[in-house]
Amino acid sequence: MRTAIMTILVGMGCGGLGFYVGHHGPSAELRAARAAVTTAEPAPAERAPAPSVCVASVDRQVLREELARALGGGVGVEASATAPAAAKEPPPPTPAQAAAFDDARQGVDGALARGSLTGEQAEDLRARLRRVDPDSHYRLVTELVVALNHGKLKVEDGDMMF
Amino acid sequence: MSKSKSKWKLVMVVTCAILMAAGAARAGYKSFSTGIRMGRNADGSGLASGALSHARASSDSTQRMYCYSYATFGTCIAFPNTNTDGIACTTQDPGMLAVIRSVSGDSTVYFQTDSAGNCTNLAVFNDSGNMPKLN
Repeated sequence: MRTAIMTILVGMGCGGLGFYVGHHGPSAELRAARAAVTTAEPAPAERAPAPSVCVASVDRQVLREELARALGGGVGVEASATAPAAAKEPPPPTPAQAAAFDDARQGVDGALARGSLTGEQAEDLRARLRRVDPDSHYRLVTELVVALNHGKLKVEDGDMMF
Repeated sequence: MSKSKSKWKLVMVVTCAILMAAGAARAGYKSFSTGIRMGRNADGSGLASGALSHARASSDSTQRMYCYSYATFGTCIAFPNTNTDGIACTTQDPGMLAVIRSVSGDSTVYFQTDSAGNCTNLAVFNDSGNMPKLN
């Protein structure tokens, strides 16, 4: 009987101790160790660097733009953006080129107005056309070709080697 | 005497015939072009073809055909009759410019043009059958 009572009391004591430990969590040492690990890792609030980095990069970009404007770099940026378009445009013709083109233009217009080219006129026109820039040369020759193909230009001896 | 002379003549004729036949057999294929041909539509488009050497050798002395090129463009022109009409085209296409630059004095040239004078097709045939330009 005494043994049974002792067994019950010891069992209740062990159960109470187990309840206490289970209810109050780990020991102070274990909690301290866990706390040390937890503080080594960034806290959830500190662990959200993405938004802050993103904001920082936007700020840097804005800062760069402001600096570029302040230092005159904005002009350079605008110039570089328009540079490809400017490169595509041919340079303006020199006065000599413009005069050569006008001279050739007159020769072609004269031939088209007459509807004919003698050997002498063809020789003269050839000399004029060879002084203009390649693109204008091509366009003027094509005008003569179109006139020939439409039967609007007669060429003596077939001399159209312009 | 007269018998031996006639025999001699016969031998000469046969010999000449054999030699001529042998020469012709060695000469290779010869093309006989009908000259420059041109077709033109009302809108100015059309085509032309012909062998340059044949045009030069033609007995009518009015046919003319040529191509020329600069660094950035080229032109082909054909006159079946220089006293009347001709047809031409110009191009800046690098491929067509290369074709134009392959033309030789004995080439056959074919080209097509649209209504704006642009070459739309261009071909050159360098054929051993073409008559060589003699003079």
